[in-house]
Parts: sequence; structure tokens; C-alpha cells
Amino acid sequence: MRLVLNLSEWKFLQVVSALLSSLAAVSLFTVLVGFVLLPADIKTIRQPLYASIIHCHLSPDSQQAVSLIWYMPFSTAAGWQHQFVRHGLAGERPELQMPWPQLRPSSAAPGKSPDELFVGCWDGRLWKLDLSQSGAAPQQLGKHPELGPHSLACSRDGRWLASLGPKFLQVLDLASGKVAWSLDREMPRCFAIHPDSRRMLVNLADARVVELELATGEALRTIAAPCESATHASFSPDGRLAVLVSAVGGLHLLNWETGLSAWPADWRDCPHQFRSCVAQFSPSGDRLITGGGDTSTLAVWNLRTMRLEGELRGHAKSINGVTFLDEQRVCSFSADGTIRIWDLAGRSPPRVLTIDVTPLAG
Amino acid sequence: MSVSHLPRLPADAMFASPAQRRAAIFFALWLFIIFVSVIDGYLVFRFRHLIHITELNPVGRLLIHATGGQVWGLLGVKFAGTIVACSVLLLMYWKQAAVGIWFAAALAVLQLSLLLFLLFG
Repeated sequence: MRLVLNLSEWKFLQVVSALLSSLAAVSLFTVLVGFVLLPADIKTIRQPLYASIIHCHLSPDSQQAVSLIWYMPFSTAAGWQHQFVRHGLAGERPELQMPWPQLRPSSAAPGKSPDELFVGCWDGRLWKLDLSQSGAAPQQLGKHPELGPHSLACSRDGRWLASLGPKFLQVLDLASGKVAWSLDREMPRCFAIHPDSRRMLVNLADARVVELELATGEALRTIAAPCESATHASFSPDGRLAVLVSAVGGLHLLNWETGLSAWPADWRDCPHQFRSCVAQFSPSGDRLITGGGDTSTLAVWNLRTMRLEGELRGHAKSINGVTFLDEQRVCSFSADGTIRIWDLAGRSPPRVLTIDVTPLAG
Repeated sequence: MSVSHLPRLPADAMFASPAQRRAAIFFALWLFIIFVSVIDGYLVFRFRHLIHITELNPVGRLLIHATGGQVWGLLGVKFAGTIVACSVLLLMYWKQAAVGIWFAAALAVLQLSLLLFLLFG
């Protein structure tokens, strides 16, 4: 029997023992961490379902809505599920329909007509939904060059559709069905299309805010005020103002023509909380709703007086966005799985709709 | 006899030789690296419903997207990556202890930064 190992056998044994030692240590720590941390978190981890509303598109009569929800059944390893649900706005727990189960939407944006909804899916494909006909098949428009575009917007004239994913910004010409241009080298963070449908603002990774021509992607100018890591941008309906929410703090309200801050000189960035990514102008442009003192509250700004009108509190988790029903009523949707409809004039408590996806999640 | 009268141990009594001291330092660093990796993995599991938003590592994001939102792929890669990295450290230490310690120290500093970021970032 040979008792002496040759060099290659010895090296092999070393590698095996190193791997086994590492495996044993990692396994031991995994068990220890599980023992120490799991008891405190077990209630959360064993939740049957996590559901969050990412987008809510209201019908013109404000009686119906199509909501983009994502939910995660914790009892299975299915991962997150993204779906559109159609529901009414009456009652506390509206009945849900799932009209497009074949889509796995990651983002949505209203089109030119209120019955149009553009959708970006996790596989990168872009679709148009016709909400006027129930059961109408989605129409494929094109493809975003990467997975899961998280931001989508259609120009007011209905000609251009911009989609933004982790790396690429792409503009699709809806008239020809072809990609007009795309941008990736400068790492676009967020964008907004100007209401004139000719220009757009783009925030880049180097904090620059640039104005691009929508048809060609040509840079028109760089705005003087930089904004680091913007998470959301929006234009006022008349295009005079632009708002950018930064992930590292800051709520930038810009006079778009001059590129300078539109806040009064004595304005302080309060109570906006920097982790919120909500910023939406009212249809008249007189009000601006942004994230409030924390991510589950909203701040209502009066842009005529440039004063804070008040805060809207009630959501249990982060608010993902808001949509105005009209000048006085606003609908907010949140990671707590509820939609709240607030009356800004009456200051009455909001109407709460719980989007209960438990039956859909099985 | 009161406690104060107990004979005092020399500071380095636990580690009789410099080699033992080196070994103790290396394994402390090595275990710390594993500990932070496991904590990181636990947080991925704990916040698996939010990880597609909060994950900053592009490779991690890609893995989550590629597995349709499930975190198991990412956790598997993290687990395997930790084992491979720690095995390589061990092999380096066995081959040349000083080099192994320096690499382990560098990795431990990175892991400490990650831990601080995870806890307070």
C-alpha cells in the first residue's frame, strides 16, 4: 500500500479540505444567525403575502382603475408576481379582475387618450393596452434593450414613448414603430417628457440635468442646477416648472426656461423626506404633491403661494405614487396594498381601498 | 485567596508562538468574513420582497431579474462565492501565512465596510 502522497494528490487534498472547512464554517454561521435572528423576524417572514401597488391608472370618469400590483406569496418560492388588476373605486375591498394575465408588467404610463395605457414588461417588451374594450388583446410595440424598464412615459401628442431601465433610456417613435434613439453611456437615472412633446429632461449619473430633443436625443442644454441620483422627475402641465426628487436628499423645483430654482429664497427642504420618490403636479399646476416627513406621508404644496398646505398621513408603508382625479381629489397608492383617495379641499379622512390579491395569489 | 491575588497570565500566554498568534489572527479575520457574508445573505432572505429595489450590486440585480424575482439564485451564488473565497484564503494562508493574513485583512476591511453599510447605510 502506498503511504506517500505525490504533490498533485497533496494539493488536491488541500483544496478539498479548504473547501470543506469553508463549507463547515459557513454552515455553522448560517445556523447560528438563523437561531439568533429568525425568532424576531419569523412573524414578518411567515406573512402569507406581500403586496404593493406600483401604478394606478384611473378611467376618465374616475369610477374604474387599472392598478399595477406586485405581490409575493411568501409560502412559495415563486418569487414576485407582477400583474395588472382592474377594479372599481367604490367599496373598501373592490373586486379584482386580471384582464391581462399573460403580461408581467414592470412599469406603466398613460397614453394620449385616457383609454390608452402603455406597459413595459420584465422581459423588456413594450405593449399598448386599449382600456375601452374589455378583453382587448395587448398590442406589442417594440422592446426595451434590457430587462424590466422601470420607468415609462408617453409624450402628450402620443408620438413618442420613452422607457428607462437600469442602464438604457430608449425613445420609440410610435408613428413608425421604430426606435428613434437610445442612451446608455451616460447612465440615465430618470427622465420626464416636456408637455410640448419636443423636449425631455434627463438626469444622468454624473448629476447633470440635461435637456434633450425628443425626436433625436440631441443635447440641447445642460441645466445649471445639478441633481445627484434623481429618482423621479416631472413637469408641470404648462411645462414652466420641473420637479426632481433626489435619492440623496433634495427636492428640486426648477424654472425650466431659466434652469434656476423656483423655490423662494427662504424655502427649506422640509418636510420632504429624501427616500420618497413622489412628485406630481395637479392638473392645473397650482399644487404639487411630494413625499412628506417620511415615506408614508405626502406633502401638499401650494405653488401659488409657495407654501406647504399640509401633509397627508395614513399609509402604513411607503407611498409609490399619486394620481390626481381632479384638482381637489388625489389618489395615492402604496406598498401597504391600499389606495387612498384624499379630498384636498374638505380635509376629510381619505377613502381607503384595500387591493386584496390573496385570491389571485392562490 | 482573593481574586486579586491570582497569578497574572502573561499577555501572550494563550498563543505560545508567533505562528500560533498569526493563526489566531488569520482565523479571526476568516470567521469575520464568513460572518458578514452570512448576515448579508440573511438580510437578502429577510427583505426578499424589497431586494429588487434595494440591491445595488449590478450582478445581484441581474441574478434577481434572471430568476424572475426569486432570491434563491442570488443566495446560492453568495453562498458558493463565500465558500470559494474563504477556501482560496485558506490555501493562501497554508502556502504563505503572511500573504494569507494580508489578503484576509483586506477582505475583512471590505466586509466591515459592507456590514456598516448594511446596518447604518
